[in-house]
Amino acid sequence: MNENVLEMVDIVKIFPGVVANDRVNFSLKAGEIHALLGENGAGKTTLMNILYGIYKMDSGVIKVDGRAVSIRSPRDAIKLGIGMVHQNFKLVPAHTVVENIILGSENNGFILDLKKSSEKIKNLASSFGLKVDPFSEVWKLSMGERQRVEILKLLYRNVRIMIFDEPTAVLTPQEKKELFSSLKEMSSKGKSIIFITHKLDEVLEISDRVTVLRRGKNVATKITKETNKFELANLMIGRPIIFEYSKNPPKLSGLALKVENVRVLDEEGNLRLKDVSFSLSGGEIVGVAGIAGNGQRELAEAITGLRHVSSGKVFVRGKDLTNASPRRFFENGVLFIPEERLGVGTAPNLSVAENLVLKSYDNSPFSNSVFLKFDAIQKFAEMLVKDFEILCPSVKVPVKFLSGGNLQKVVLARELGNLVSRDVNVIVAMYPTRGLDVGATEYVRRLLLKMRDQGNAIIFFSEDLEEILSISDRIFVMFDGRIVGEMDSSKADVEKIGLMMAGSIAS
Amino acid sequence: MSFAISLASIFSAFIISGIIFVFSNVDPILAYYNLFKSFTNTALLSEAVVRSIPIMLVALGLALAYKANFISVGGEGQIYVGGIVITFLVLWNAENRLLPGQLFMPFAIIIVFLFSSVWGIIPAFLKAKFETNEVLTTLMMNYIAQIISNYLVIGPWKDPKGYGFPHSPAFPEYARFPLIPGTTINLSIFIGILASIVIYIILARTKFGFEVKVVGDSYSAAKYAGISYTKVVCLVMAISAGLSGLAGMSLLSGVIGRLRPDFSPGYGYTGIIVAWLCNLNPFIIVVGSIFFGGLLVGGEVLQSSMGLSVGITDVFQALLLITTLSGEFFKRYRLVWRR
Amino acid sequence: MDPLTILTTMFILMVQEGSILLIATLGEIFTERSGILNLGVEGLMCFGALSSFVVYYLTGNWITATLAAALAGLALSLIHAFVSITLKANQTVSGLAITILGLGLSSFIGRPLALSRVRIEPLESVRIPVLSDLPVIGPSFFNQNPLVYLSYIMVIILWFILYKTGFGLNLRSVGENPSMADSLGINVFLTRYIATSVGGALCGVSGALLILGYYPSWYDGITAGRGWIAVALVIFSSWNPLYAFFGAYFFGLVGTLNATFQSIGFRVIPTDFFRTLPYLLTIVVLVIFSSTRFRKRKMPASLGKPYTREL
Repeated sequence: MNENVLEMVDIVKIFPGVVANDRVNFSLKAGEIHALLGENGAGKTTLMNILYGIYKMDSGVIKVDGRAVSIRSPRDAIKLGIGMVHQNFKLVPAHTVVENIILGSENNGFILDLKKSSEKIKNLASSFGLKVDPFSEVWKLSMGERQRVEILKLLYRNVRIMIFDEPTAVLTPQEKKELFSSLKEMSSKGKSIIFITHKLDEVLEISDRVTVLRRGKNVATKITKETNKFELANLMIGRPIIFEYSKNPPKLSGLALKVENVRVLDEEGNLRLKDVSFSLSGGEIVGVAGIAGNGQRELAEAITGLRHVSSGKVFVRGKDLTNASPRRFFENGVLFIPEERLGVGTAPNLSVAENLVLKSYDNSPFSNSVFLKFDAIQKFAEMLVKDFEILCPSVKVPVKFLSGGNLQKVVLARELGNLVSRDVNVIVAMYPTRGLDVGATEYVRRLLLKMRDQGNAIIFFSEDLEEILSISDRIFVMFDGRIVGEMDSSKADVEKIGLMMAGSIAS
Repeated sequence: MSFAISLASIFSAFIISGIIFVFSNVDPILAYYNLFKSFTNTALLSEAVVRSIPIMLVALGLALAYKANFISVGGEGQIYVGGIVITFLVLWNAENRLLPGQLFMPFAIIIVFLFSSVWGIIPAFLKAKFETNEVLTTLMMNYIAQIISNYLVIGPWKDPKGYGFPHSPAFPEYARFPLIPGTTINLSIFIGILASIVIYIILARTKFGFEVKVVGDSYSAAKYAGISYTKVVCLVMAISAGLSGLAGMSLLSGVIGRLRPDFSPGYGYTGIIVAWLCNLNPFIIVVGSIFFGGLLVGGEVLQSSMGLSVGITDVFQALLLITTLSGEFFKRYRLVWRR
Repeated sequence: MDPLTILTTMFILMVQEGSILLIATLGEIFTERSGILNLGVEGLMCFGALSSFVVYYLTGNWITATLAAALAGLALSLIHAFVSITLKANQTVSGLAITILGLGLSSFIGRPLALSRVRIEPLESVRIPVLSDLPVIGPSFFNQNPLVYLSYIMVIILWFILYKTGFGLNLRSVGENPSMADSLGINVFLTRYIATSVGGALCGVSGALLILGYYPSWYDGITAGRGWIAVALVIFSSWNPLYAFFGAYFFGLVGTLNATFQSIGFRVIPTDFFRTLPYLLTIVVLVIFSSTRFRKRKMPASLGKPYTREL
């Protein structure tokens, strides 16, 4: 147990303008589960991408079994017995499980023997508790099953060192339990596991040791049993985290959004929203929990005019806007913060200023009946940039050069900076803090709460249960195109929400 | 730097086609001299400008479409549609005499533009509604337009007094663009220059131009912002095809004087190259078209003086496009370097 | 004429026209499956046709001529590969450039041939015993020149390579998700280069079949848009070589209507109308098969997108 199978010594990686890894040290023992903890941008994924041969380090030494090695590509890493399960699965949805697993494997031969491969996969699957049908096409599988395919891909190649990058982000609590038991099974059979996460509870639950990174530097390596949540939080953030948001009790004004029996079909004609009904009042904030792909996107798009509703009704402040255009929803005070900031929320090659008037260029004072008025647009943009603390060299730079946090601020500034309707707006936000650093996350949450206090109705979608619990007044849980649970956040129970997300119970 | 890369791209195209010349036993210096002869000789230069008019009109329209990321290659077919419409108007007026001579041309310009627009809206609408690939649909429509035009000219519209030659009756004087005195250049060049100014203003100053840019940059962002994709691409293609239709009219009313089979020697395709090479900039397109007009004249000089096929001008154009495309890689690379 | 003779003649023409389309479609399927969109098919075909014509005229050997066509298609498609894979340029524009280049080169090199009206003897048909005695199907499918038989064989070979071999799996994966394939040690660039050049070579061969089989003299624009129809047929075939077989012969059939109706003296509408049919039908097919329901799951997910490795 005490042999180091892997040592990374003084690893340095510099991206233009940022030192992503600054003399980082990391070691891994045979058969251990070692958590790599840090917030977004701390350099965890960079370090592991170096180990997996995706990035080239600027200096440092990697030793496997005590011998210095050079890893120039994932293929080198796999040869050394190192494999990685990425956060976004690297699978071909159109291909079968077995095709995905054997892809790139060296012993394929010219003509494929899928039958033999599938036997081997079945054996591996049963010995590690990773059930999946080898001949199913991947697009038909759940996220949990897809993850198992990823793990099997590593086992199929006899990988001994397995890197998991935020593996629980897409799982239901139940799937998470199954993953954790498989991880323990694998470590007991001698596999060494690196577990990248920013969630403290997971570190405590699964790992033997934990290494904390902060702003590209090692902060500490601890034996998990000898540490606790607050110490880790302190190490990770450098200051205690505020888990609580001080909230005023909601002051409900009238009905802002009413959704009645809405059904939505996707491009292939499958029913993705099945009779969804709810209502939302001014002055309240509702968080929607659920595993991605259970109808959240369809719901958000249906209540903002981006998706055709095949039956049912959508009312905004009593006005029937069912299947109205996105423009009309916007004019009626329905503001939308979409999931993809670049490419949907903003047009990448257009400037900050142009993106800030993307929905209002049509109106005075930004244009007359034919021509744009550049002075007014520029003045307005500069005002918003100041108000929302957007960091950019000028309002004329294309937004594609902005960081994730600043990009989100551009979207927020456009939607919330110039409130269309004076009284009550409906704000729809999808994953508003995903991928943002701590500072930007707090900024966004506080802004949403401020909007609520000003009497707006807010519905937001999130994968982060902690976020949902801490800022919402009511909680919806979505599963399989339905709202399967609805509760007051003060009475919410995480265990129960988890079961609802997995479709095991309905309220 | 970026300018240097552009120059290097052009230079490479010269080198490569020079190699082709050498391999075909042609003195490359002499060949280039002939190819660019138009720029040394006023009579030929005037001819180059004449050729540039349809190229200019097509390229300007395509530039607008490309700004909306609608990769139309339909200029050639729209030229034929323009040719069909103007010929129809001429024949119709010859029979009915409803329009006095001085009103005919303004009226014809409007009608040609409108009918060509309708032809251009078809692929735009199909893309907006069914996501059909616009390169393929516009190309197929080119063949269809050309077949119809050729059918008309050897069939119902054949000149009865034409000794069996496959062409329509000659257009009367009032259906011809007057020439600028002392040159062979006809007045339709002003349509081209006007169009370049209008396209520039549309793209740089107007709300519609803004919508075109948003649609061209990101379909999803446009949809999210409430900009109607269907409206934008249909309008863009209406203008684009309208201009190409006028290119066809300018060929018949300005140069040829009647409808002939296969009357466009590929101006619609040359327009594509000009639009890209001029970086979709309406003013540069005017200059670029004259350059390419010169190239086409040069190709004919080559053919008559050295017996080479005019195909070499296509080769040269394609090489220019390929080297310029390649040059973009180095421009991007430099950008990443600096950051 | 009795209906059976008419039908047989139609079928013979259908197979001739269809096989030309088939080979080019197969080539383009192979290329697109790796994620590279090559719109240069028309130019590759034309240049392939010219090359094989020249070589056949000089040597009289159809195998050498066919190899020349393959080489011509390969050479031009390598330019496309370099520009779109290595230099990551816009594949649509590059493909258009290749088309113009191919047509231009052919016209430039072929001018003396066009002027002197050189003719060659079309390839002789090889009768397949037993099968060629079947009514209608026999004379049309089994009494053709060797390149037509090659087209049938290529359907099977390409299908087998794509779905039953390790290389085929790599190729399909590169077209779906290149960054993933790269992370598993598959050489994305090499795979795409191979797919583009093999596809280009096939387009060249389809040009060889066109001119060696049925058009024994050279003239400009001999391909008449067949390359573009092949590109559309790829969508119609859902990127599957087996479906391409049916698509190509269906279009082959439509392409014969003009000649057929002329031969039976059809006068109700001008027969020129039938000449527009293949193009018109291509548009109709595109409309039907481009709707998301048909296409989304079949189209290679990374088609037309250049791949850049992260640093």
